[in-house]
Amino acid sequence: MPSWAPLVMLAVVVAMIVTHVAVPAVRGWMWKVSAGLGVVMLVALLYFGLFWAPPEAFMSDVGRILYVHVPHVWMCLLAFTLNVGCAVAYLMKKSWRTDAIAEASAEVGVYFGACGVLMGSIWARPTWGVWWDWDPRLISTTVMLLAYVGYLALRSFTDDPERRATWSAASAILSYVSLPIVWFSVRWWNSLHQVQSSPSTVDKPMTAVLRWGATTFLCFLFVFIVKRYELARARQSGALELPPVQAPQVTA
Amino acid sequence: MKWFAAVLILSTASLADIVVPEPTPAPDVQPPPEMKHPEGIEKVPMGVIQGGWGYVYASYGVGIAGLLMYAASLFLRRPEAKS
Repeated sequence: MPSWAPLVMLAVVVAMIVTHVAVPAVRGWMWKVSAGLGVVMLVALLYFGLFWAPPEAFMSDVGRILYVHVPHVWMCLLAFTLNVGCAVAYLMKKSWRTDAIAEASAEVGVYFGACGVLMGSIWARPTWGVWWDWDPRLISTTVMLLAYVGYLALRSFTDDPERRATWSAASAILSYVSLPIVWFSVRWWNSLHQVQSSPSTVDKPMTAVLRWGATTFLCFLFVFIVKRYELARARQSGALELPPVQAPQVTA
Repeated sequence: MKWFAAVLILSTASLADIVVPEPTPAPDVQPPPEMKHPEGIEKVPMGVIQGGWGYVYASYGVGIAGLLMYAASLFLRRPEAKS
Protein backbone atom coordinates (compact mmCIF):
# COMPACT_ATOMS: atom_id res chain seq x y z
CA MET A 1 0.00 0.00 0.00
CA PRO A 2 1.47 3.39 -0.91
CA SER A 3 1.81 5.79 1.99
CA TRP A 4 -0.50 8.35 0.36
CA ALA A 5 -3.42 5.91 0.00
CA PRO A 6 -4.84 6.27 3.54
CA LEU A 7 -4.52 10.06 3.32
CA VAL A 8 -6.51 10.06 0.08
CA MET A 9 -9.18 7.86 1.64
CA LEU A 10 -9.25 10.13 4.69
CA ALA A 11 -9.81 13.14 2.43
CA VAL A 12 -12.66 11.27 0.68
CA VAL A 13 -14.37 10.39 3.96
CA VAL A 14 -13.99 13.92 5.34
CA ALA A 15 -15.45 15.28 2.10
CA MET A 16 -18.41 12.91 2.48
CA ILE A 17 -19.02 14.10 6.03
CA VAL A 18 -18.78 17.76 5.06
CA THR A 19 -21.14 17.18 2.12
CA HIS A 20 -23.61 15.41 4.39
CA VAL A 21 -23.60 18.36 6.79
CA ALA A 22 -23.70 21.07 4.11
CA VAL A 23 -26.10 19.58 1.55
CA PRO A 24 -29.42 18.37 2.97
CA ALA A 25 -30.36 16.65 -0.30
CA VAL A 26 -27.69 13.96 0.13
CA ARG A 27 -28.50 13.08 3.74
CA GLY A 28 -30.79 10.24 2.72
CA TRP A 29 -28.08 8.19 1.03
CA MET A 30 -24.67 9.56 1.98
CA TRP A 31 -24.54 7.40 5.12
CA LYS A 32 -25.12 4.31 2.96
CA VAL A 33 -22.14 5.21 0.79
CA SER A 34 -20.04 5.71 3.91
CA ALA A 35 -21.19 2.38 5.35
CA GLY A 36 -20.33 0.56 2.11
CA LEU A 37 -16.94 2.25 1.94
CA GLY A 38 -16.36 1.36 5.59
CA VAL A 39 -17.06 -2.33 4.97
CA VAL A 40 -14.70 -2.40 1.98
CA MET A 41 -12.00 -0.61 3.94
CA LEU A 42 -12.54 -2.96 6.89
CA VAL A 43 -11.90 -6.00 4.69
CA ALA A 44 -8.76 -4.29 3.39
CA LEU A 45 -7.75 -3.47 6.98
CA LEU A 46 -7.93 -7.15 7.88
CA TYR A 47 -5.45 -7.90 5.11
CA PHE A 48 -3.19 -4.91 5.78
CA GLY A 49 -3.19 -5.33 9.55
CA LEU A 50 -2.91 -9.10 9.77
CA PHE A 51 -0.63 -9.91 6.83
CA TRP A 52 0.78 -6.89 5.00
CA ALA A 53 2.20 -4.84 7.88
CA PRO A 54 5.59 -5.96 9.22
CA PRO A 55 5.83 -7.36 12.76
CA GLU A 56 6.82 -4.87 15.43
CA ALA A 57 10.43 -4.93 16.69
CA PHE A 58 9.63 -5.99 20.27
CA MET A 59 5.95 -6.94 20.25
CA SER A 60 6.27 -8.88 17.02
CA ASP A 61 2.83 -9.94 15.70
CA VAL A 62 1.05 -8.80 18.86
CA GLY A 63 1.72 -5.25 17.66
CA ARG A 64 -0.94 -5.79 14.99
CA ILE A 65 -3.54 -5.25 17.70
CA LEU A 66 -2.62 -1.56 17.70
CA TYR A 67 -4.11 -1.11 14.20
CA VAL A 68 -7.58 -1.59 15.67
CA HIS A 69 -7.04 -0.58 19.31
CA VAL A 70 -5.64 2.91 18.65
CA PRO A 71 -8.25 3.94 16.00
CA HIS A 72 -11.06 2.88 18.33
CA VAL A 73 -9.72 5.15 21.09
CA TRP A 74 -9.17 7.97 18.59
CA MET A 75 -12.80 7.70 17.44
CA CYS A 76 -13.90 7.70 21.08
CA LEU A 77 -12.02 10.95 21.76
CA LEU A 78 -13.32 12.46 18.51
CA ALA A 79 -16.92 11.62 19.43
CA PHE A 80 -16.53 13.11 22.90
CA THR A 81 -15.04 16.28 21.39
CA LEU A 82 -18.09 16.56 19.13
CA ASN A 83 -20.24 15.98 22.19
CA VAL A 84 -18.74 18.85 24.17
CA GLY A 85 -18.88 21.12 21.13
CA CYS A 86 -22.60 20.47 20.81
CA ALA A 87 -23.08 20.92 24.56
CA VAL A 88 -21.44 24.36 24.48
CA ALA A 89 -23.42 25.25 21.35
CA TYR A 90 -26.67 24.22 23.04
CA LEU A 91 -25.96 26.38 26.09
CA MET A 92 -25.15 29.36 23.86
CA LYS A 93 -28.15 28.89 21.57
CA LYS A 94 -30.80 26.32 22.39
CA SER A 95 -31.31 23.89 19.53
CA TRP A 96 -32.80 20.43 19.64
CA ARG A 97 -30.54 19.36 16.77
CA THR A 98 -27.33 20.07 18.69
CA ASP A 99 -28.79 18.31 21.72
CA ALA A 100 -29.54 15.26 19.56
CA ILE A 101 -26.03 15.27 18.07
CA ALA A 102 -24.60 15.48 21.59
CA GLU A 103 -26.63 12.48 22.71
CA ALA A 104 -25.66 10.47 19.62
CA SER A 105 -21.96 11.29 19.84
CA ALA A 106 -21.81 10.40 23.53
CA GLU A 107 -23.31 6.95 23.02
CA VAL A 108 -21.17 6.19 19.97
CA GLY A 109 -18.10 7.45 21.85
CA VAL A 110 -18.81 5.14 24.76
CA TYR A 111 -19.15 2.24 22.32
CA PHE A 112 -15.81 2.97 20.64
CA GLY A 113 -14.12 3.60 23.99
CA ALA A 114 -15.38 0.36 25.51
CA CYS A 115 -14.16 -1.62 22.50
CA GLY A 116 -10.82 0.19 22.64
CA VAL A 117 -10.34 -0.61 26.32
CA LEU A 118 -11.27 -4.25 25.70
CA MET A 119 -8.74 -4.49 22.87
CA GLY A 120 -6.14 -2.80 25.07
CA SER A 121 -6.74 -5.37 27.76
CA ILE A 122 -6.22 -8.18 25.25
CA TRP A 123 -3.03 -6.46 24.07
CA ALA A 124 -1.77 -6.01 27.64
CA ARG A 125 -1.90 -9.73 28.43
CA PRO A 126 1.00 -10.83 26.17
CA THR A 127 2.96 -7.54 26.47
CA TRP A 128 2.57 -6.63 30.16
CA GLY A 129 1.70 -10.10 31.42
CA VAL A 130 -1.60 -8.95 32.95
CA TRP A 131 -5.08 -8.24 31.63
CA TRP A 132 -5.38 -5.05 33.67
CA ASP A 133 -3.09 -2.77 35.63
CA TRP A 134 -3.97 0.23 37.78
CA ASP A 135 -1.97 2.47 35.51
CA PRO A 136 -2.65 6.25 35.16
CA ARG A 137 -3.74 5.88 31.53
CA LEU A 138 -6.05 2.97 32.26
CA ILE A 139 -7.54 4.59 35.36
CA SER A 140 -8.15 7.94 33.62
CA THR A 141 -9.71 6.19 30.61
CA THR A 142 -12.02 4.21 32.88
CA VAL A 143 -13.04 7.37 34.73
CA MET A 144 -13.71 9.10 31.40
CA LEU A 145 -15.92 6.27 30.15
CA LEU A 146 -17.81 6.11 33.45
CA ALA A 147 -18.36 9.88 33.27
CA TYR A 148 -19.99 9.52 29.85
CA VAL A 149 -22.02 6.51 30.97
CA GLY A 150 -23.25 8.80 33.76
CA TYR A 151 -24.02 11.45 31.13
CA LEU A 152 -26.20 8.98 29.23
CA ALA A 153 -27.87 7.85 32.46
CA LEU A 154 -28.56 11.48 33.39
CA ARG A 155 -30.38 11.97 30.10
CA SER A 156 -32.81 9.23 30.99
CA PHE A 157 -33.50 10.50 34.52
CA THR A 158 -35.81 13.36 33.56
CA ASP A 159 -38.75 13.53 31.17
CA ASP A 160 -38.57 17.30 30.73
CA PRO A 161 -36.64 17.72 27.44
CA GLU A 162 -35.39 21.24 28.22
CA ARG A 163 -34.15 20.32 31.66
CA ARG A 164 -32.57 17.14 30.27
CA ALA A 165 -30.75 19.05 27.55
CA THR A 166 -29.45 21.75 29.92
CA TRP A 167 -28.34 19.35 32.63
CA SER A 168 -26.70 16.98 30.20
CA ALA A 169 -24.88 19.87 28.47
CA ALA A 170 -23.37 20.89 31.80
CA SER A 171 -22.54 17.25 32.50
CA ALA A 172 -20.88 16.93 29.09
CA ILE A 173 -18.60 19.90 29.78
CA LEU A 174 -17.64 18.45 33.16
CA SER A 175 -17.02 15.01 31.64
CA TYR A 176 -14.79 16.47 28.95
CA VAL A 177 -12.32 17.58 31.62
CA SER A 178 -11.26 13.93 31.79
CA LEU A 179 -10.19 13.87 28.14
CA PRO A 180 -6.97 15.92 28.37
CA ILE A 181 -6.13 13.99 31.53
CA VAL A 182 -6.40 10.76 29.51
CA TRP A 183 -4.29 12.20 26.70
CA PHE A 184 -1.49 13.59 28.86
CA SER A 185 -1.58 10.93 31.60
CA VAL A 186 1.29 9.05 29.98
CA ARG A 187 3.44 12.20 30.12
CA TRP A 188 2.36 13.60 33.47
CA TRP A 189 2.82 10.40 35.46
CA ASN A 190 5.08 7.36 35.40
CA SER A 191 2.82 5.21 33.27
CA LEU A 192 3.30 1.67 32.09
CA HIS A 193 1.42 2.63 28.94
CA GLN A 194 3.74 4.00 26.27
CA VAL A 195 3.59 7.65 25.20
CA GLN A 196 2.07 8.72 21.90
CA SER A 197 4.09 7.77 18.84
CA SER A 198 4.71 10.06 15.90
CA PRO A 199 5.13 9.19 12.21
CA SER A 200 8.83 10.07 12.51
CA THR A 201 9.40 7.26 15.01
CA VAL A 202 7.23 4.59 13.37
CA ASP A 203 7.97 2.59 10.25
CA LYS A 204 6.11 3.93 7.19
CA PRO A 205 4.05 0.78 6.46
CA MET A 206 2.90 0.74 10.10
CA THR A 207 1.89 4.41 9.93
CA ALA A 208 -0.02 3.75 6.72
CA VAL A 209 -1.97 0.82 8.21
CA LEU A 210 -2.73 2.82 11.35
CA ARG A 211 -4.09 5.69 9.26
CA TRP A 212 -6.06 3.23 7.14
CA GLY A 213 -7.62 1.81 10.29
CA ALA A 214 -8.48 5.29 11.58
CA THR A 215 -10.15 6.18 8.28
CA THR A 216 -12.07 2.89 8.29
CA PHE A 217 -13.51 3.49 11.72
CA LEU A 218 -14.17 7.14 10.89
CA CYS A 219 -16.63 5.84 8.26
CA PHE A 220 -18.43 3.81 10.92
CA LEU A 221 -18.28 6.68 13.43
CA PHE A 222 -20.04 8.89 10.90
CA VAL A 223 -22.68 6.28 10.06
CA PHE A 224 -23.38 5.43 13.69
CA ILE A 225 -23.73 9.08 14.73
CA VAL A 226 -26.08 9.77 11.80
CA LYS A 227 -28.34 6.82 12.64
CA ARG A 228 -28.22 7.48 16.39
CA TYR A 229 -29.02 11.13 15.69
CA GLU A 230 -32.14 10.10 13.79
CA LEU A 231 -33.18 8.00 16.77
CA ALA A 232 -32.60 10.92 19.16
CA ARG A 233 -34.59 13.26 16.92
CA ALA A 234 -37.48 10.80 16.77
CA ARG A 235 -37.51 10.57 20.55
CA GLN A 236 -37.40 14.36 20.82
CA SER A 237 -40.32 14.79 18.46
CA GLY A 238 -42.28 12.28 20.50
CA ALA A 239 -41.49 14.17 23.70
CA LEU A 240 -41.91 17.67 22.36
CA GLU A 241 -45.11 17.32 20.40
CA LEU A 242 -48.23 18.00 22.36
CA PRO A 243 -50.75 15.17 22.50
CA PRO A 244 -53.68 15.64 20.15
CA VAL A 245 -56.73 17.20 21.67
CA GLN A 246 -59.51 14.64 21.83
CA ALA A 247 -63.07 15.76 21.49
CA PRO A 248 -65.29 14.69 24.38
CA GLN A 249 -67.28 11.66 23.52
CA VAL A 250 -70.98 12.28 23.52
CA THR A 251 -73.02 9.41 24.76
CA ALA A 252 -76.64 9.11 23.91
CA MET B 1 22.54 34.29 72.11
CA LYS B 2 25.32 32.52 74.01
CA TRP B 3 23.03 29.64 74.85
CA PHE B 4 22.00 29.36 71.24
CA ALA B 5 25.64 29.27 70.11
CA ALA B 6 26.42 26.61 72.69
CA VAL B 7 23.53 24.41 71.55
CA LEU B 8 24.58 24.87 67.95
CA ILE B 9 28.17 23.85 68.68
CA LEU B 10 27.09 20.82 70.71
CA SER B 11 24.64 19.62 68.09
CA THR B 12 27.24 20.05 65.37
CA ALA B 13 29.74 18.11 67.42
CA SER B 14 27.26 15.29 67.95
CA LEU B 15 26.49 15.11 64.24
CA ALA B 16 30.20 14.98 63.44
CA ASP B 17 30.29 11.36 64.57
CA ILE B 18 27.82 10.33 61.90
CA VAL B 19 29.71 9.03 58.91
CA VAL B 20 28.06 8.52 55.58
CA PRO B 21 28.30 4.79 54.82
CA GLU B 22 30.13 3.68 51.78
CA PRO B 23 27.78 2.68 48.95
CA THR B 24 27.65 -1.07 48.65
CA PRO B 25 28.02 -2.41 45.14
CA ALA B 26 24.89 -3.84 43.57
CA PRO B 27 24.77 -7.64 43.57
CA ASP B 28 25.80 -9.15 40.31
CA VAL B 29 22.54 -10.82 39.33
CA GLN B 30 22.41 -12.26 35.85
CA PRO B 31 19.05 -12.66 34.13
CA PRO B 32 17.98 -16.23 33.53
CA PRO B 33 19.01 -17.57 30.14
CA GLU B 34 15.41 -18.29 29.19
CA MET B 35 12.36 -16.50 30.48
CA LYS B 36 9.24 -18.58 30.45
CA HIS B 37 5.68 -17.60 31.24
CA PRO B 38 4.40 -19.16 34.48
CA GLU B 39 1.44 -20.67 32.68
CA GLY B 40 3.58 -21.82 29.80
CA ILE B 41 1.60 -19.87 27.22
CA GLU B 42 4.34 -17.75 25.73
CA LYS B 43 8.07 -18.13 25.53
CA VAL B 44 9.77 -14.75 25.65
CA PRO B 45 13.46 -14.97 24.80
CA MET B 46 15.57 -11.88 24.10
CA GLY B 47 12.70 -9.50 24.96
CA VAL B 48 10.73 -10.19 21.80
CA ILE B 49 7.25 -11.66 22.07
CA GLN B 50 6.87 -14.90 20.19
CA GLY B 51 3.51 -15.95 18.80
CA GLY B 52 0.45 -14.35 20.32
CA TRP B 53 -1.75 -14.70 17.24
CA GLY B 54 -4.65 -15.75 19.43
CA TYR B 55 -4.64 -12.32 21.07
CA VAL B 56 -4.46 -10.64 17.65
CA TYR B 57 -7.44 -12.60 16.32
CA ALA B 58 -9.37 -11.93 19.54
CA SER B 59 -8.84 -8.16 19.21
CA TYR B 60 -9.92 -8.05 15.58
CA GLY B 61 -12.87 -10.27 16.50
CA VAL B 62 -13.90 -7.83 19.23
CA GLY B 63 -13.75 -5.00 16.68
CA ILE B 64 -15.89 -6.77 14.09
CA ALA B 65 -18.34 -8.19 16.63
CA GLY B 66 -18.69 -4.75 18.22
CA LEU B 67 -19.47 -3.14 14.88
CA LEU B 68 -22.09 -5.78 14.05
CA MET B 69 -23.71 -5.65 17.48
CA TYR B 70 -23.91 -1.87 17.66
CA ALA B 71 -25.22 -1.68 14.08
CA ALA B 72 -27.85 -4.29 15.00
CA SER B 73 -28.85 -2.30 18.10
CA LEU B 74 -29.33 0.83 15.98
CA PHE B 75 -31.35 -1.15 13.44
CA LEU B 76 -33.62 -2.62 16.12
CA ARG B 77 -34.13 0.79 17.76
CA ARG B 78 -34.81 2.65 14.48
CA PRO B 79 -37.85 4.93 14.54
CA GLU B 80 -39.58 3.03 11.73
CA ALA B 81 -39.54 -0.17 13.79
CA LYS B 82 -41.74 1.41 16.49
CA SER B 83 -44.20 3.14 14.21
